[in-house]
Parts: sequence; C-alpha cells; structure tokens
Amino acid sequence: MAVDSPPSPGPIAHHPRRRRQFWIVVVLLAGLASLILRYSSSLVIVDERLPAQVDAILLYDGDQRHAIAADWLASGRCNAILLPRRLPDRNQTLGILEPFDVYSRQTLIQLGVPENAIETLDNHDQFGEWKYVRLLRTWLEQHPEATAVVFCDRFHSRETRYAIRHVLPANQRHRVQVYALPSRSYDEQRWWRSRRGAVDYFNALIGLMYASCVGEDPDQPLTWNVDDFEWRLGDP
Amino acid sequence: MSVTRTCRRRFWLCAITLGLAIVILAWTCGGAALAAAGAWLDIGQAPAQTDFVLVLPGGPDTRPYVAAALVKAGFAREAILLKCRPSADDLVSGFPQGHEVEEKVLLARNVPAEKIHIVDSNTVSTFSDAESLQVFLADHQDATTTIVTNDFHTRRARFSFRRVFGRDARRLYFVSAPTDRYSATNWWRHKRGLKAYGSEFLKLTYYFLRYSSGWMWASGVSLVVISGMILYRSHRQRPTAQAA
Repeated sequence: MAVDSPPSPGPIAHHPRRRRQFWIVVVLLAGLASLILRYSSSLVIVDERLPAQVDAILLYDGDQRHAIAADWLASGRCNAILLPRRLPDRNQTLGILEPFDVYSRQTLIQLGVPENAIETLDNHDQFGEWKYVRLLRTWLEQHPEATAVVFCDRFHSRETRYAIRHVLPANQRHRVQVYALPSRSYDEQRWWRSRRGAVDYFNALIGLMYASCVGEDPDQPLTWNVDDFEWRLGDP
Repeated sequence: MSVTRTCRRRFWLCAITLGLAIVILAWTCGGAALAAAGAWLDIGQAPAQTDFVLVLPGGPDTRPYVAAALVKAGFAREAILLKCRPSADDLVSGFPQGHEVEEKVLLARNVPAEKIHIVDSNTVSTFSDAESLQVFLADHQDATTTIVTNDFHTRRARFSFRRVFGRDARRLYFVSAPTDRYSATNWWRHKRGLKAYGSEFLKLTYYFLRYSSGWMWASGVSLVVISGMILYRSHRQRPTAQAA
C-alpha cells in the first residue's frame, strides 16, 4: 500500500547535500582564486625562446622597449631596429603631433643607436590594426634570409602572435619571434592587485577574444568633425 | 515515475526554456540593451556659461578639441589642464606628456596661451583629478567649471567630483566629448568600443565599491540582506507547498 511504502526522498532530501556541495565549490574557488587569477595571465601571454642572434627588431610596444633594443644593438645581438608607422590619429592627421615612430627614433638616438641602424617601415597601401605585421611581411620578403623579433607588451603578446599567424605566410612565420616585455607598473603574477594591471589584463583579454572571434579591427575613418562641432557651438 | 525524476525533468525543461528565452531575447533585444547601457554612462549636459573648462586627462584627440570650442564660443573664459603622474616608460618614450599634447591642441585651435592654465598636479585617476581641481579652485571662490570628458566617462567623472566637492559640486557642469569610430549605439561592434566601454563598466563598479558614501553602502548591504531573506523564505516554504 502506498501509505505503508517508505516516503519518496523527493527533491528536498537532496538539498542538504547539494547545499554542502555548493559551499564546497565556493570555498574551493575562494581558496584557489589567487591561483586561478595568477594562471589566467597565461591566457594572454606567450613566452617564446628568443634567438641569440637576430637580424632585426620590430619595435611595436612594451615597457622599456627602446632601452632593451638599444642594448641588443650595442651588444651585437641584432643589426637593425624597425619602426612601423602606425595609423595616424586626429592630432597627427592635423599635424599637431609627429607620427609615433618619429619620437621613437629620437629616443633611440638619445640612447646611442646610430641613425643608419633605424629603419621606418611605411606603406600607404597598408591599413588595419595589423598594419605593423603586414609591413614586417614586406620587409621579410625583401630580406629572404632575415629573422626578426617583435617587441610587444607582455599582456598583448598572444594577440600579437595571433596576428603574425594570420598575416604572415607559413614560410615566414618561423622567422619571427615575439618578445613579451613585462611592465614595471605592476607584477604580472598579481595583476588584479593593481588598477592598471587589471585594466591592462581586461583590455588584453578583450583584444584577444575580438581577434579570435571577429579578426582584425578594420581601419575606420575618423567620424567626428571638429570644425562642424565648433561651428554648431558658435552658432546655435 | 518517481517524484524526484519528474521534478528533475521539470527543472531541466524550465532551465532549457529559460536559456532559450535568454538567447532569443539577447539576439533580438541585445543591441537595444547594450545601447541603453552605453547611453546610461553618458550624463553630459548642454554647454553653459562657466569661468573655466577643465580637460580631463586622456582622450587627447577629442577632449581638448571640445574644450577649445567652448572657450572660442565664449562658454568658458579659460582652460585648465592637469599634469598626470607619468609611468616609468612614459618618461623615456620621448612622446609628449598628456598635458603637453592637450596644450598643443588648444594652441592649434587658436586658444590664446594666456587662457591656458596648467595645474602642477600629479594625478593618477579621475578621483585625484577631482582633488586637483578642488585645490585649484580654492583660490577662485565661487568660480564655475565645465568638465570635459568622453561621453562614456561622464558618469564616473560626475560621481568622483561629487564625492570630492560635496555641496560645491553645484558649481560643476559636465560636457560630453564624442568618440571617433564608435558610440553608445554601437560600441560592442568595435574593438576600441569594447575596450573603452567594457573597462568603463569595470572602473565604475570599482569606484562605487571604493568611494561610495556610508548611506550607499548601507542601502547596498540592506538590499543584499533583504534579497537573501526573501530567497531563503521562498526556499523554506517550498516543501510545505509541495506537501499540501
């Protein structure tokens, strides 16, 4: 008879166990949070074995990139420093500022790098966020035996490697290494403890996810017209 | 079929239906929700007549242009620029500091040099920008200031300046500078927009947690406690209902 049969445990009987499991997971996650966050940096970082000798450095980004490049050149570890011309922003388009590579060149010269060891890469046919990799491709085509190391920000190194894999042909990829330069502003193993580290990590993660899901960010023209804005403000 | 299995099936049926509903909702209304979230960040006001216009550090290819336009149109008498604390790499990169770029823009847009004040501050965040302006305005009692920053940053800027200025925040006006290539209506489609708006939501959350006043904390904690109690009560009442 149904009355005599033992009562069905029902979903409620499972709750204490589920609750215990839930709290075990919460405590585990909390305990391992630091470890998880620390290893999450490897999502955006690639550490590559750097060659003892390289033909050129492509100076793109990263803390102390100028000083390290100057050291490599002085010690004979590299023969040339390549400066890719970036896409101009409004200040550069209007001639208020020089292109970034001009400032980089001045800094390198101040660090003792001979002017003839610095080469600016530019090509008006190249656009898009990964223009610097396309400029490197052209340089590699002109120097068929040459090798290069790309200096970049540590948290953006995986995205840089991603761009290299997508832009360079297979026969060029092995000639290019990525040097992920760490920032002195925060400890990359504890990036979440610094405001700048957290923002850098977040931006790097967004950049990598965007590159993986969408691809290259297209080069879009400036949409805001300053003169028009001034005219409307002055003539309401 | 046991009650347990029936309940589990119902649970999965509900979960799958809910998941599908969320996916369909996000697919159809996601854009509208994201646009609304983006628009929520912008609390910019129409330009008003003020004594000064402050260019918040960052966005050197938009913010100083708006400030220059305000000075030229007579909405502000003078422009204020803040010096930021440079990072170690900034000092050796050879690239001009933020306030130097802003000054160049103002001069290039025909703002006279005597109308540009560079405050010898050492700011590192929006909150310290507010503190620097407060120090500057100590010598200019009753002066009003327009604060120019990018549209997505205006809410956090207003929050920070209100926390620092308190009742004196009535002397401040916030004007939005637009962004190039993306806006509140399409930021999630652009990489730069995702970074700008994404990190802004992150920073805003941090600011609310870090700089909120006592009563805001108290209301937040009360909200969490009340929600917890409601959930707990509904959870406790479920067996009785099923038994009935």
